[in-house]
Amino acid sequence: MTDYILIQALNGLVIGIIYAVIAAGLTVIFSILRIVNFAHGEVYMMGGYFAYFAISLLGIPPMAGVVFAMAASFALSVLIERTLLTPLYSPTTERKGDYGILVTFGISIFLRNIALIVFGPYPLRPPSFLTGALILGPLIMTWDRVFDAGAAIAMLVFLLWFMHRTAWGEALNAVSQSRESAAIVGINDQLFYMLAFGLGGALAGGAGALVGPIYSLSPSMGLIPDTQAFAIVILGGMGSVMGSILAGLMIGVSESMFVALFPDPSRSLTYAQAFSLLVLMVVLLVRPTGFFGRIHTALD
Amino acid sequence: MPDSDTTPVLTARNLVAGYVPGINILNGMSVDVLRGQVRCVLGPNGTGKSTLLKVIFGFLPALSGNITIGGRTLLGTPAHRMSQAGITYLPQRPSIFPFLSVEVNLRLGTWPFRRNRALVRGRTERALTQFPILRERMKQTAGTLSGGQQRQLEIARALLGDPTVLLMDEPTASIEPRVAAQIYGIIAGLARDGKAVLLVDQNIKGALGIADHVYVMRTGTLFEQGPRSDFTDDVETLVSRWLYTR
Repeated sequence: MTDYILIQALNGLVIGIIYAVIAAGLTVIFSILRIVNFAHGEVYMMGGYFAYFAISLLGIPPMAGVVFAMAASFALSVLIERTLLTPLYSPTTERKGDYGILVTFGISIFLRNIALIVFGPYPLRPPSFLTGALILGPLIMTWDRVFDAGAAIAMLVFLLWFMHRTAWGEALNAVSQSRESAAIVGINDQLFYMLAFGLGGALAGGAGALVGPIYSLSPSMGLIPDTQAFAIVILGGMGSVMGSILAGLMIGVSESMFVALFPDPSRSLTYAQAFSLLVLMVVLLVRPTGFFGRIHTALD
Repeated sequence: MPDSDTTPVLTARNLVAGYVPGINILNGMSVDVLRGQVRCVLGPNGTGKSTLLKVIFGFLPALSGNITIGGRTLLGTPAHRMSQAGITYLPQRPSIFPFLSVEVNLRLGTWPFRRNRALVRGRTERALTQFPILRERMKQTAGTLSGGQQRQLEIARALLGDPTVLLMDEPTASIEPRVAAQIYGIIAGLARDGKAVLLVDQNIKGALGIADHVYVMRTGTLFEQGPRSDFTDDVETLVSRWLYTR
């Protein structure tokens, strides 16, 4: 029983790290553009398909397929931002929050249906990154999951390094705190909106490419991770990337443990998402701003 | 010490602007800003003083009129390019980044020329010499500085870009009188160093104490203007003239 719980906890950690990557991307977008991006899950889905077709049509190795998926998701996100979100930055646009919600919600439906038409409704499974399994005594984990965890950690480390150790990261942080002040010091805020939306999309697309060999790809695969990512962003504290990472791990592990320990195994998977939202509700009752929340919503 | 030049470094002519279609806040306002001078814009609340600065800096587009710096038009220049044109803006609420350290705030002030390491080092050192309190607080989060120190940080950061023109909106708002006097002293010093300052203020006595030239606005237009001496004799009469003259 202990081994089973340990394996479930490890699996939860892996999925938690993937959740953290998706949520960190959502946090970056929210902090800079101040919109709730309802299309984030669909960019995650597209990332999975980008990797699949890069591997199957272009013959790119599966690991390089993740990089390709991130680059393609970045490009897709930049295209969306430039064509549909620029009215958000106009001083004459009223109710920008509502505009952002409606537009990203529309993009979400559009991308899901385009995927259904182009890729078909049936699940597609890209090849494994690494075949076989890691066996450490009683602990068994497929190499795909080990690779996913490693790659997701690398993405998060890169994000934190970029934000805290580079001039562009500092500028991104500055834009998140005040667009006006950023413009005053000469930072082109429009460039950083584009960068933030692209960066968030690249993280989502990378996560989608990572989960492909584990869960398969389908046009609706982004719905649940998207919901989880919203819960994680709120749980971690709006605008806090570190909060998103910790909350992602917490949700991943607690979901997995719930599935492992729920008395009725035939229904435990069905309730998993409800359980993570229950965790969110309990935390918000005790700490309404989330783990690292603060009254402002700037990037941290 | 540079003398004030009689040729305006920045001119704004007949500016018309507003936030909502059909309602203009500026109705043909004009100002000149000269090197080595503090030019002050006074007037009742809601008359368009802050809007004037926003329009000049490019945060709000002008519906008509023209703005030039050194003879080159500024209309249509996005706000983030203004520092390269030699203009900086200090809004009413200090434009610091409150959750970043003083050090990072200053570093961000060098953004347009960040690759020129020698220039960045030289100008930062000069700013820290001018504002020694900032050197002591380099690692402190900017939002935890006092109101006066936040203003000093903002001015220091603005000076890193070596601007020709400083647009200042109520720099002593919500600041205690003793510190406000220091801030006015700093602004007067900037003009003595050859900077051109356009100061919008509600603190009439404080502003008149350092102004070389005064513009008085009413309902988005120029009500009257003249050298400081025209306005300093009787401030109460001046205010009642704004309020009651139609």
